[in-house]
Amino acid sequence: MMKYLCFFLFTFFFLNTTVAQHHNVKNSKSSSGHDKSYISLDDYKQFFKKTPDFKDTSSYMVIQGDTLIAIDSRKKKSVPFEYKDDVFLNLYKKIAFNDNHKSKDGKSRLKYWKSGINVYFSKSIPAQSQKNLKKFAKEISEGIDSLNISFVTDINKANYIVYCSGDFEYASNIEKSEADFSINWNGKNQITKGFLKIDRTTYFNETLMNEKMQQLFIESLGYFRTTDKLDCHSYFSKCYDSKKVFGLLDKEILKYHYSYGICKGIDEETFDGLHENAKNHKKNHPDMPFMMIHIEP
Amino acid sequence: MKQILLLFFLIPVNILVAQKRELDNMLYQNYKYENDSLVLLDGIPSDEFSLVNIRKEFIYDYYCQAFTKLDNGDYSKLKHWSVPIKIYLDKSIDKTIREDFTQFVKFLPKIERLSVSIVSNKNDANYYVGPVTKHIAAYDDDFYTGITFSLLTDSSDKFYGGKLIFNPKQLKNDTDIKTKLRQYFFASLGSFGFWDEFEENSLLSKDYVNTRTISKYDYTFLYRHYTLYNKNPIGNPELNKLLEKIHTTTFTNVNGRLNLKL
Repeated sequence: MMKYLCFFLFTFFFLNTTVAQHHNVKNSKSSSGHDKSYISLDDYKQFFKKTPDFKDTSSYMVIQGDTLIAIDSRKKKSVPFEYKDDVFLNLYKKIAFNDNHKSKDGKSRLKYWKSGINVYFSKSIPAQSQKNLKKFAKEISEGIDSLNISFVTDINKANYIVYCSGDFEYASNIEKSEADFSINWNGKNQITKGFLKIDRTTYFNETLMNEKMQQLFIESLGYFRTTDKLDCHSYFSKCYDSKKVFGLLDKEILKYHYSYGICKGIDEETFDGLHENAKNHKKNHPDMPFMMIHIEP
Repeated sequence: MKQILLLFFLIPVNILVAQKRELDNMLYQNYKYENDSLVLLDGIPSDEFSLVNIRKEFIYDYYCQAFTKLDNGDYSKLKHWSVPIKIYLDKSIDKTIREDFTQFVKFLPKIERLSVSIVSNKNDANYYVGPVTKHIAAYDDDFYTGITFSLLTDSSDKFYGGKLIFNPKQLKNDTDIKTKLRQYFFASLGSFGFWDEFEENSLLSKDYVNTRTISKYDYTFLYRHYTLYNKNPIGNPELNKLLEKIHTTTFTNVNGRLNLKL
């Protein structure tokens, strides 16, 4: 599994793992011929949760008082930072930083599905609604490499369950709801489980049911919240529209959320700081791309 | 060390032109892309309200019914249907009751922003009316026994679906069913409450006496409620300010649309 660590800024209070590596990482070649990259000792400890082996002198180096630890370059993938304009970023933040749930420190953080989503439909979901949601899932995830949605018939292989009122209540926190979703996430703000519930008597025909399921499903992909800044045809808009369209902007928002070119799981302050630094970097070094490094431990 | 680090800046980046325009205080904007930059447009200011045929005799008390007191002590915002209401009457409803309700719907006043019709296909409907066998709990008032409605509301306080169910065994007779269906449906047009104080000819009165027509009182109530339809929903504080503004404004065109800014 690939992990990320944001080195460039605010590295240490969340276990996120994207590396912007202009000062933290260097490359060299090991005795075995494999490329090696170096990260700071602090970053190494933070990311790998262990102390490096200092007995092996080839596994580290000290430059100008900084201890740099070697990692296998094959486990590292560089991705250019994804720049976006302020209008987009302000909009994205309204949607992606959901104040409805804050951590103990009072901050809300970006949440995302790290592993693939395996959706299981309970038997009470009509076949046509299943088909509709499958089609919708394909449409919205198309072209987003890190968002993989599949459908399974074995509930044991699922991490996302779609069910109706009257079925087994898989998520107790939405037991009394007529239509809602519930997601679980880990300490890295990676979503690990999802539940979508709908009441067939309230959403009494397929049209209403399908519309609601689509809306809830897309919100559950990032614990997104809707905004009054967008016209009703957007899935990220607060207002209902019987003719919602997953348009260019919706696609851009979802794609950006799942882009490797940004940090995941971070809070808004960190997000802003990272973008500020990236902008400054571009200003000061227009010919040098600002890179995000993804490391596989 | 800096020389080594330069190695990492080799991949070119698509440079997007940063938009200088901030997201201002606009709601429900459309968008377009210009040279890869996002531009939001066509929104309405959050403190602007577009009202129709506004009149000076707006009475605050009149609108108290349109607000619901929430658990936290605040009042809900004014709620409106944002889509045409398409009612499906369950086939199991007695024919005379169906006909009575259908006729009632036809008599509803024609109001801008409010459209109500009956459809025969359930899949075309967004409003279901039908009987149930389950007990519909009564509270401390018999008026609320045996019938209830629920509405699908989006996050902008607009309705887009509804359901009106009744348990015939809990209602006195067919006349009672007909009367309550009319009353509850009318209330669901704005999630209005019922009051003892309303006159008997009002559908929102608990002592409503069934008549063949919609009273002028109800017509005015509904009409005025939908004059306050706004994309940006109006809350109690906004309504107070609007009323104050209306009372101190000289209108030269009372039949047109009026934009008021708080």
